[in-house]
Amino acid sequence: MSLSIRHISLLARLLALLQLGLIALPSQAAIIKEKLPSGLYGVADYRAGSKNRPAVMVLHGFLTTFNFNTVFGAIELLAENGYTVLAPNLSLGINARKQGLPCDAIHTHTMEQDLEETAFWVNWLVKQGAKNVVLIGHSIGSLILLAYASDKPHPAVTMLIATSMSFANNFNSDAEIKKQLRTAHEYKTKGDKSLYPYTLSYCKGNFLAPAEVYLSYSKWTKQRVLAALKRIRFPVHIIMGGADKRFDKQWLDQLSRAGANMIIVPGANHFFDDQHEFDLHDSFLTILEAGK
Amino acid sequence: MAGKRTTTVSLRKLLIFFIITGILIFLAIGLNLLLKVQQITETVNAKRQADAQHEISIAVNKLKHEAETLGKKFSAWEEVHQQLISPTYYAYWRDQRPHATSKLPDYVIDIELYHANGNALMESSSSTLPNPLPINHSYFGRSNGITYLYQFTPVHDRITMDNIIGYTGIKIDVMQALHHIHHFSFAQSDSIRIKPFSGKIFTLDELLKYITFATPDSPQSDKLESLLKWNLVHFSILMVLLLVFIYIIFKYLISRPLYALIKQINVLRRGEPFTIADEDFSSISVLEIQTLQDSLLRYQEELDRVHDKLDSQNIELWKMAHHDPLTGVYNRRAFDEDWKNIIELFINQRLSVSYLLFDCDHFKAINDTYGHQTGDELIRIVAGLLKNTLRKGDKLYRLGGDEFVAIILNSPPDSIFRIAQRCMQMINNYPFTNLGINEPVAISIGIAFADGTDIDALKSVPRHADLAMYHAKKSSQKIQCYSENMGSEASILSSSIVNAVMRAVNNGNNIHLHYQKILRADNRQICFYEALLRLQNRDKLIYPNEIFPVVHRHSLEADLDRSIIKTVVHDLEKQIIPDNAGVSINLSAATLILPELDKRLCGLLPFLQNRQIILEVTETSLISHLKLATANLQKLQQLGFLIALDDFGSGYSSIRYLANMPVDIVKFDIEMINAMRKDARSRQIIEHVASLILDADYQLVAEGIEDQQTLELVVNMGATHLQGYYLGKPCDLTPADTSRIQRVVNTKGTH
Repeated sequence: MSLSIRHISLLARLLALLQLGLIALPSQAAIIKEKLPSGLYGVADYRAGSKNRPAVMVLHGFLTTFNFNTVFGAIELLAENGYTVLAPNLSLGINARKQGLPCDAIHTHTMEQDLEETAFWVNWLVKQGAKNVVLIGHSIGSLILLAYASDKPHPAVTMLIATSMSFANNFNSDAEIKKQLRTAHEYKTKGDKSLYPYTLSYCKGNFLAPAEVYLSYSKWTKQRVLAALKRIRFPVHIIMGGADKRFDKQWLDQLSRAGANMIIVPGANHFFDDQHEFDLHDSFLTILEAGK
Repeated sequence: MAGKRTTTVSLRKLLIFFIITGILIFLAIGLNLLLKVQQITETVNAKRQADAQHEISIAVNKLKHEAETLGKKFSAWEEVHQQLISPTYYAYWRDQRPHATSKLPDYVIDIELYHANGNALMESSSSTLPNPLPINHSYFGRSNGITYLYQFTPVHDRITMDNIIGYTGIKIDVMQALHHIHHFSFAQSDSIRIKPFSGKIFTLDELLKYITFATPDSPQSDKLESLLKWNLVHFSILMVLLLVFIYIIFKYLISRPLYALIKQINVLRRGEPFTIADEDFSSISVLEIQTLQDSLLRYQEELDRVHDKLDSQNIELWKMAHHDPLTGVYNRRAFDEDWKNIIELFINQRLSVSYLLFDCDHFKAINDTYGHQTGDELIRIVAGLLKNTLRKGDKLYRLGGDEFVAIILNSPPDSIFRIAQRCMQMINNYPFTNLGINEPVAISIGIAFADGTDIDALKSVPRHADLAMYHAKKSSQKIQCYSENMGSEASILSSSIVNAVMRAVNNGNNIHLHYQKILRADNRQICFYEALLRLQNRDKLIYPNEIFPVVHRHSLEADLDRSIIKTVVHDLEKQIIPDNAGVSINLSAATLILPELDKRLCGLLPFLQNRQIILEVTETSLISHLKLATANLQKLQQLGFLIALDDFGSGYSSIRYLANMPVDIVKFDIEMINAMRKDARSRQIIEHVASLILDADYQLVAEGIEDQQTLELVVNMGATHLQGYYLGKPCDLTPADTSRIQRVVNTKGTH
């Protein structure tokens, strides 16, 4: 078999494009375990991608893991498109957590611990050589990343893509929220560390936790979210499902007004199920390509 | 076949035997089937027991494995790790979470978490699991009557995976777990028990010793067994009913009709009337039995017909056997039977027996003269007349020929004599000329009586009647009653004479011929000898006067003549009769009319060459069958025989017969010779007769010459031959005599 000069020339060009990152190759998957500041170990799905592309950290929703469908689909998409992807599981107080935590489990983790672990993983990603980190979150994951991004994010973080952007008590009426908050504050004031069931996110009256834990999440109200959103110094893209019944149109408008780039996927639910997953993915790729 | 013993068994016993045999076979098969079913059931039960035991073993193993799996799963549960790291809310978590999350099944009734050092996560725990962690991480224990499986599993660090960060302990209700994890098929689920034990059990094999169980009912085998038993019982009942039904059917359709037929056949065998009782036969009948019955009935009907026919034939046969076909009166057989009965009757009671013997005079001559047809008609008429004349009830027997007997019981002799007279009168008065018989027909009657109980006297009655008959024949008194003075002549009918006559007739060995010489009148030389019959009876001779009554009575004339001719031939061959001397032989009328008389005399033909052989016939023989006798004599004459008419002058018409007969020699009867000596007129007539005979060219023999005077008279009369005691008595001829006579003859001839 002999190679012609023309063939050799084509092969050289391909290698050059690969080197430039213009041609994306699928990332190598790996489950990594890192000791968190709390002493517990954290687990993350890490896909090493092109160094010429932004590294993307994808964060799961409330009490779930990176194996959650919407999240895992994004990981796969991004990895396939050559992005370095890191998708950690928040420990939620469990060493090397790999499973979702039910609402009625004993929750001793706090929003602050989640933010601490988020910062840890961003730093870890930077340590891996990422110079440009894009944050993608889903639901409460979006809220945690927003909170992280609005406070003291790592300088490498250049973009936040928040899908199904949520707030802590999105299922309760305002009156109920106020009542629950008041009770929780009373418990906290009394120093009562007993477990009580609360309504938080999708946990409807069965989020079993001490008042302190509840309050750490429940303080992230709409207003706090919108305020945080305004504080963020890099682009924020919010992708919402047009048929997400957890939120009303007002929330979408409020978000839009807060300065985020709003992308509404018509007909999509909270999890962008079915064919809407492609719309979501198209949005991801479009945003990422645009922000390059 | 006669030597083979045959064991007979009745049909009913045979049927009962078959039924009992059938029942026994059925019982044997049924019991064997039951036994087999029980064996199968026992085998199935043993198999089920073994299967159940194996199933229990599998279930317990499964439980053990399940406990280990549960322990591992439980240890891997992140909340367990959560509690081991942060046990703040452990009490709540232990009581709520494992079961709330369905991480552990219900049969796990309690849990406990232990630190890596083996102490329980909470010291004051209400857990029923042991604290601290036991050395053996799996064992069975028992409390409150319940057996538990305690399973302890290490919890490994999720990062290093080898460091043990704690332990989980689960307490499993064994029975509940067994039922939950295993669906029992071979062991009856609710029957599984664990017997109480103390302490801890660490191995499954040890635990299995304490587990008791029952095998569930096997629907198939139980149903099969039940079905078999049920069927067996019902089939037994059905079989018994069937056998009873068969027995009843057999009895009513076969056995009873057969016995009825056998009974009827026995009735038949006893000769009783055949009847078939309807009650012996059911309204429903087996075709074969019905056919047999019909056949028997038809057979019986046929038998009855045959029997009736046989009866009538027997009657006819009896009649034929006991009646004379010609006359219709009883025959000799009937006579013999009746006479035997009378003798038996005579032994037991006093009887007066009269025996009447009837005989036609000269019947044979009449029969021969006028033919058998006329003779038969004569006999028929005589029998009818006698029967009609006898009293009603008196039996008349025809003993043979013209001889009849009537036996009359308990009638006095004078009455019997009157009956005999009436019979005689009836015969005498009957116009026999209607039959063409010119001669008078008469009968002779001999009567004998026996009275009392002397059986010998009775047995003598027939012989006495014979003697009386014999006298009547010779007498003008044609009815003769037996008297003592007739006894001297009884010898003529003695059995010894009869035997001698019969021997003479049969073989002739006892015939002893005497020869009486007949001399020529001109030279007084022997011309021929007349053969005269004597019978040798032991050491004495029987003479014709005793012989011929027997011969006549038994009609043996022709047979006796044959024996005499045979003896003469013998004497001629032995030369007992001198050469050149003739011999004369007396022939009876019966011989004279034999169709082939010449063949009867063929033995004499060779001797005709050198001597004269004269055949002497009587007037009586000539008048019967005159034509045939004439023809025979002519034929004999042609052969060379000379014919002599014997006893001339003693019959009816000597001259008439003489003219028509082929006669060469005439022998004057001795009565004529005697009459010549009585008076001159008689002598003159006889001399004229002699002259006529001589003129007709006959030779004339004068018999009965017993003295010189008579000799002279007959010589003067012109007799050509002389015969008489005076010239020579009949005597034996021996070869010596013959030689001597021969010499005398020759000498005289020479002179």
